[in-house]
Amino acid sequence: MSDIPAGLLYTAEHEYLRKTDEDQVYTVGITDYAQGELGDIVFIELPAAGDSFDKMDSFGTIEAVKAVSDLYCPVKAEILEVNAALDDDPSLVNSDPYGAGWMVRIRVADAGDLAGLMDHETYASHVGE
Amino acid sequence: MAVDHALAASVPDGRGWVRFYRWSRPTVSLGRHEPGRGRWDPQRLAAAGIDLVRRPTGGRAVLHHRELTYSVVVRGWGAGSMRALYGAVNRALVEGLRSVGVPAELAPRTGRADPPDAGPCFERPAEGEVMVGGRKLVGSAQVRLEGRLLQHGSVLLADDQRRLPELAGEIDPGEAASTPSVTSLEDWLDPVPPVDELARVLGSALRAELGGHWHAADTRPTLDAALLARLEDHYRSLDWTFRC
Repeated sequence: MSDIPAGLLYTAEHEYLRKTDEDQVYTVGITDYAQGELGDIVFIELPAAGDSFDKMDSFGTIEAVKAVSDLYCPVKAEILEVNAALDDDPSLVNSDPYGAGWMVRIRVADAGDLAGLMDHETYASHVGE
Repeated sequence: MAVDHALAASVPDGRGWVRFYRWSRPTVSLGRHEPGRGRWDPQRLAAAGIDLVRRPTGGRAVLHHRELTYSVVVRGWGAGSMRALYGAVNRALVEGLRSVGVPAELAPRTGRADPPDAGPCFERPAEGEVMVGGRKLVGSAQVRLEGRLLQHGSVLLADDQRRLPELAGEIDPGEAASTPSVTSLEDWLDPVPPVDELARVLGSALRAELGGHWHAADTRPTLDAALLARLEDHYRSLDWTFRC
């Protein structure tokens, strides 16, 4: 069983959004289920702060063992900050996906996009847990 | 690269491709995230008659020359995960190789997977890769393209990987490089079967492992010419090759 914390929002592409104290600002990463499916994560390519993406635009890539996958922006958003610690240690996504393994902090451009995301129970059903 | 990518971009849901090919010129391919700038000199490679390309898939440098290259593209297949496909393809390759007398096996886990800057692909096996006698025979890599999975890899007919350190400028020309981690079919079969026969055997094993119904087809006529041309331009561009 993978860890699917309550209180977060989830996408079908196995990303999570955690609300911060700042209005419309969320921390984004991939779920524990996703990191388990990918295996050893060896490289993460993230955008620069200030970049903007439409919903479902690819905002980066992740390499696990020798498999590359796109990371999709779950909502239309501006990148406020990227987790530079992942440059040196991408395995943080394996060991602590909801904590030290966060990827980007975003400002949501259209709050309406959030309505299409899943809560933890719906996401658990989505991944069959 | 362009044909593999185009196949992945255009495969319909519930369908797949198994493709075998060889390289018209010896070519070094780099993994998607492998550092290229300042490490690989296209002029040095060109002087040796070798091309340079960057794959859409992960992993590290391979010198494609005396090898049989496979690619598998699926969309909406079985378990659907990249690791499931990786396992299925590697099991099929082991099965096919054993059927021609090569005692192939899957590499055990020996620690965390290597990062993209850890040196050539065949220097160290990743968990689940195809080995013979403790040495790596097949190097494979994957990419997920909008829900479609592409896995391609090199089945070594002979060991050309020992040239990589010289081609990268890491050792002097003529200096012999040791590649104790690499094996090739030459080490196990005398003679090595014709590549058409190998492709037939490995293709049959792949189709059996992946399941479903398959039929023979020529790839190029089925691909959209404009898509293929765009992808050929992409993979020829130095911007892509030296993106990092």
